Amino acid sequence: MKNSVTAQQQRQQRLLATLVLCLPALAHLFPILYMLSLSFKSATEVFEYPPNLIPAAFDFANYVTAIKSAPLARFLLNSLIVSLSVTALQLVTSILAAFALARIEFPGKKFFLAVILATMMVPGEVTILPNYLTIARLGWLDTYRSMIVPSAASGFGVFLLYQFFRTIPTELEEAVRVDGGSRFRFLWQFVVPLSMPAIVAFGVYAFVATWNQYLWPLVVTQTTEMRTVQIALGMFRSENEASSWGVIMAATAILVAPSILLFVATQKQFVRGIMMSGIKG
Amino acid sequence: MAQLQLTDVTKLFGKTRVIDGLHLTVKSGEFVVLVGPSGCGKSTILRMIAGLEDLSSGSIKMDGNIINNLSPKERGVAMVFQNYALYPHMTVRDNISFGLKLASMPKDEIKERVFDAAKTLNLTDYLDKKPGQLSGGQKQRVAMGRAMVRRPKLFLFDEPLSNLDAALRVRMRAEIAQLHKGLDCTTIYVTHDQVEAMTLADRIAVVNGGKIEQFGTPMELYNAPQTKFVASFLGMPPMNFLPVKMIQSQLVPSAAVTVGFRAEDTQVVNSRSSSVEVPSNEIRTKVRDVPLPPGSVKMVELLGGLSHIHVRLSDDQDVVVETRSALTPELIPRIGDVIELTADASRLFFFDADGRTIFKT
Repeated sequence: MKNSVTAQQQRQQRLLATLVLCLPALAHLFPILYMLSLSFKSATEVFEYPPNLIPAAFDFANYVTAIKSAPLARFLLNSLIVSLSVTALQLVTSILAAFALARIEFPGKKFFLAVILATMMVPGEVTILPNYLTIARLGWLDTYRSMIVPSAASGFGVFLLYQFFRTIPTELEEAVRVDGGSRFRFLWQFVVPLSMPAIVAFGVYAFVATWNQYLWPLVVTQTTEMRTVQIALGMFRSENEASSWGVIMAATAILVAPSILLFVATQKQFVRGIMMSGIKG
Repeated sequence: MAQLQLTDVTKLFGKTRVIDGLHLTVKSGEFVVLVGPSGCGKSTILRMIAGLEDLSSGSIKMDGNIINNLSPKERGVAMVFQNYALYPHMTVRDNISFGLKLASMPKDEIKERVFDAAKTLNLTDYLDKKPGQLSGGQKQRVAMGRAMVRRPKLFLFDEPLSNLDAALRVRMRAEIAQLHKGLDCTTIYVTHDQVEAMTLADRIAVVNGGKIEQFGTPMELYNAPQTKFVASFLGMPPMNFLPVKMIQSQLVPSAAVTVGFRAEDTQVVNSRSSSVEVPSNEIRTKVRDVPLPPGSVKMVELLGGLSHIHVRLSDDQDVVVETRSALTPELIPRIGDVIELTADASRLFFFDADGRTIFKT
């Protein structure tokens, strides 16, 4: 009897919690839904008052116009190349650095960890000028390299994985050593698979963060061919001014789709990784 | 099988001397148990033998060759860890065969060895399960299987049973003893459990403060402890100690000498409570029994076939007395009862102020 009461109470509490959590979720979701809604509306319907969330007709004309009026595929490709490269590089550097810091004793370890942590506290805008000068002197302006190389390492990634790697028991490493495995084997055959949630979480984070970068790609690219998605969206708005919001929204929907799809696909692992490492991104 | 020799081995952690000039020789095929309280350095000794910890000085020889600088793999040792240290993302089969795969052994032989080990350890039905799906005892068996298949020269166990419940511990203890007989392999086993040490070992090394206090067969250590520490560590309940010496079969207080006697060598000879009649087989006072100061009962532990009576003596010392027969309810002493005790004079141990045994000449 007592148990059934608590079960019922638990259900009620869960329902309440779900309802409360739905509100901020809706607040976050609304702009995306509104974007989708506008992207299907005709130029006149966009300005109707009061606005309708559901368009009168699902018209793909805006998408056609958007694709025709700009090299969207090129922008997507640029963003994809940059984001994937940065993600891959950050994963490699973060995994290696985090492993060294978490599992190997060496002099100056605490100092290096502190320095890496300190990089997380410097706003990106501060480093734009020195980074720009470096890239310019190397003659890398308007290349993929200029967008990829400066982001090859991530303090956040090192710290997230460092926390995770430290939870792997030392005895496991010793068992591998007694079995005849090297340290590197322990890293790739044990640490990496056992830390998959954290690695996926960080990978998704790195991808989305790079995909959403605006200021740095804007500074180091000049030609339309090298522009990434976010800058393209900016260009789109200034070119189309206030006249065709439907087209702008259609272009936006196309350009943000990959990062949203990636997140949806990896959501489970992402949440687990963030929860298990006890860090919020 | 390998013969192992540790000579003057010292280990420093920072400035702390964890192991201090240790000497130990393990014969080929022998089962040696390192036993001692937690933090005594016994696991460090094992880890140095395994090659997981460097020596600060001294040498370790296996079959006459110095192995100080060899990796664990090159030493040909296998180790069973306290928390099993199974690879959580691999199946039981992969856990057991991992070391063999690294050694690039032919697939057929790996299969055969894994199958043999699984059969010996009753793991055949679990080969495709992951460690998370196994019980504690099964995990322990997988850890042993992983060590076994490598046919090591030296088997190392680091408190392998301490995470198991009491019943399982007894069963696994028997299995380890059997396994050792079957494999005929030199084994070093670390534990803080004196029962494990007594039952498994050919020889026991009692470790205290980074040094070996005594190294000998279980019965040698039990019957002729060389130090008070060894005497107190082996035996359950622990040996009783009184700051007295014996003059003409009487115990008189002494600052320099401590007398030790085991609970099982003690007898209740008289109880001044009307409620207690000591069973007749307890009152066979022998000529060689020495009387202890009278005391009052503090606590009684009934263990079924035997009972432990905790007594506070008149000189404020606590001793434990073991009675070897089941006490019927009316015979159970009550707290506060005054009783008289004797100890078997032939089973008294004398220790000097430094805790060393004074041997009777």
